[in-house]
Amino acid sequence: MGDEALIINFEGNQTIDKSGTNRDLLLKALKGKKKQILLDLSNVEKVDLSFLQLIHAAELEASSSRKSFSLTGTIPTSLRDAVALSGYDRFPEGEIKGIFAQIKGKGEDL
Amino acid sequence: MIDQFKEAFREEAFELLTELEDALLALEENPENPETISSVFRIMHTIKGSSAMFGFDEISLFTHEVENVVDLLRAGELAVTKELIDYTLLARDYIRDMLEDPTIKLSEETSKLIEQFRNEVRKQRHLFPENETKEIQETRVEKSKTEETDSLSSEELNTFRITFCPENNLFLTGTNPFLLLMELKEMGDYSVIANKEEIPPLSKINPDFNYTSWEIILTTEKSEEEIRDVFIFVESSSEIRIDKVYSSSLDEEGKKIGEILIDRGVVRSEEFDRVLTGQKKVGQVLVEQKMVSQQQLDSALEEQRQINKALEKRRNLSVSGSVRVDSAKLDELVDLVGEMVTVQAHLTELASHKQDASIISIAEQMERLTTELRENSMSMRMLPIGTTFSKFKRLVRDLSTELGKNISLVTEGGETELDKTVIEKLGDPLVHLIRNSIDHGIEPPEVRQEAGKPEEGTITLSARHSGANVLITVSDDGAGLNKSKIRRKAIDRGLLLPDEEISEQDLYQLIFAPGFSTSSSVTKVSGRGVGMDVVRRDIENLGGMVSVSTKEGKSTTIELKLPLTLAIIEGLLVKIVDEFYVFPLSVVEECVEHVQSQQENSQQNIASIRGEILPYVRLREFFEITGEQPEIEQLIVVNTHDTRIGFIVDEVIGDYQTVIKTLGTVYKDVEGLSGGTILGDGSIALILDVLKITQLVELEEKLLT
Repeated sequence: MGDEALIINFEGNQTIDKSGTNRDLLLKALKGKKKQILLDLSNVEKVDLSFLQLIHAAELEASSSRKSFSLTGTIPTSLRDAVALSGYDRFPEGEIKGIFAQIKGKGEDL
Repeated sequence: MIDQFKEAFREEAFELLTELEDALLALEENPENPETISSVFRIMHTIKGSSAMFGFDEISLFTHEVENVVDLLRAGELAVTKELIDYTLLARDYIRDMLEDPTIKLSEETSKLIEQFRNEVRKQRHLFPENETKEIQETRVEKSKTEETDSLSSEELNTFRITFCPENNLFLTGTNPFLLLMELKEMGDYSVIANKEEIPPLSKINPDFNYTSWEIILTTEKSEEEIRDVFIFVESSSEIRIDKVYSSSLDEEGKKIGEILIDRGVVRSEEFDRVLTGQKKVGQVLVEQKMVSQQQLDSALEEQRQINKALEKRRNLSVSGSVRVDSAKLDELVDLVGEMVTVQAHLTELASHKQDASIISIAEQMERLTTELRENSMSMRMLPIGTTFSKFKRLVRDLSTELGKNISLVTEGGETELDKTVIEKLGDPLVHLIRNSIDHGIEPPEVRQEAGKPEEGTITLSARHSGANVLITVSDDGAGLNKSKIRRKAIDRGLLLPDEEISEQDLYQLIFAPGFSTSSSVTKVSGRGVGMDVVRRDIENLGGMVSVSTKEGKSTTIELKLPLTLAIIEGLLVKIVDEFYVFPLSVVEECVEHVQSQQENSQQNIASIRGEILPYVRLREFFEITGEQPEIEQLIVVNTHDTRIGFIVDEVIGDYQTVIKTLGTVYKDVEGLSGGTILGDGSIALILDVLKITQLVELEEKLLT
């Protein structure tokens, strides 16, 4: 119990209309017993700012509840483009690099 | 909420489309003007971007295609032709239709139009073979490639720091910030850093809120204004700062290291500022080195402070220039002011009864303030009439082409202001008058040539103030009205007896009679089943008057005299027995006492004023009011359509600021009254439609004789 990782899969468009559901989903995972949470965004198509904000908020939540929160799978180009366009791939000092740094990376299999 | 912002977008877009129409017509007159081409492009670009942002995808895609063509014009790769203007005007109409009714399906029409655009591009390339025949899309790609390589050397490059801090409710307004960022990215060298500090942990986040703000460094040849245009639909709900940090036109040294560090996100600008404040300022160093005195430094610092303050003030001024207000709110404001005018009238009346100096003084102050408030709120409803004028340019252009005539429209006094309700209702009558001038007034080019006139006919549309009225004239240098033709028609229609003597002016006025049409053929341009009588009715419903003057073979001028406003008028309050009536003060010439015994012939209702004969109407009889008649009555002399006529009432109370209330549908058939108003004591006064009463009485007289 608690040793295995929990993988959360997101598929298709992840935009503002799903932000409420996505928040609840992530929050449930973070409040659960699993110490390691993995996000699989391989099949994500279109994302908007609300989704990127949720991931950042989830990272903050994970860090305060001492959980590991990272990516698994592949990174779609559309996601990497969105992160670059929105400036989420830049990290002022002191900011968690986590998932966005992973996305910024090479975009290959993690 | 989103709907509200969509509505705001539509409003803005309609305004842009009007601008676009003006710009296109101006471009047709002056096809070489690069500024006009740029403004056409800018409008297309803004409509494209914002319609995508608010989910009007069809509009966005279609506008994108048209924008590509305009871009070729801008690059000088295409020439402005009548066809291109025609197509772009049609494109503008389609966009408007799609905005008006988002459910409308115009895909067939729009694809056909795009094909026409492409054909025109092909045709021009064929005529000028140095440009190879390519599809629009391809040339655009090519062009942007060369642009990229050329731009660095030729155009002036500026570097801007853009701070974009939207409000929390950004998403709720239907805005997708990615589209804004994408637009900026397309402008040049783009570097962005998101400030994620405000994002709370997941358990505290509102998933529908925006918590992100941005700092963007953009090196581009675009102007600050063009960058600001990107934010046009979010600027009221966001904090946007655009600072030029570097310009290639200025002989500056390279970027400061601090700026670069901030740009790269190595340090934040606040951190950098903190470090800087720890340093000694240049002034301090100079003082320490004894190169300047503390006093000199203080004075220089003061100067700097003043300059910055002035700059700040100027910036604020340009920001708070105007505010967009829903017109319904303005109507509400005027209604409230109307109520206040009524209450103030009550107060004034009460004060005069009480004979208390302090209350009288308050009432007077109140009256002054109310008048100012009234004038102020009325002026907010005033719009320059030029906004309607511009749409007629298009009308003249399209119709004259259709009829094979050569006509130009000249407008004068477009800045003249009129109440927005009057302007709204003026559209149809003006369209009708202009259609008439195009169709019946201006002759075909060959006829004009024979008559020794220039081939191109001119229609002049002008507006000017005249007291409490606005005079609008539509005149043309066409054939003029044909006296004998009008006479014949009038006799045919039974409006005139075959041997009846009639003055020239009265004969011309007959064209406003119901069912009168001088054109023997009904054309699709002006023959739409409405005649000049409808124009007259519309104008009279607005409290205005129509008159015509003409020189046969030379010109026709139709003059519309309109009140400045429809909501509150200056009136003259009168009393008959215990009923109150209001005359619009603008038509009243004078009031004189009238004594029954002086009357020579009571049957004829004619008075003599300073030797001049004046027919009059006894309102007591007209409204069938019974009650004792005073010995000395009052005769109100009014002037309508240059006809003087008197009205007899019992008592003149005085001038009265009249808030016009409609009488409601039950009374819509009552003739001789144009509305009602509430007096200070709560009783009601009826507003007289002087013109209508005169006409009714004249008709009655005519029937009797």
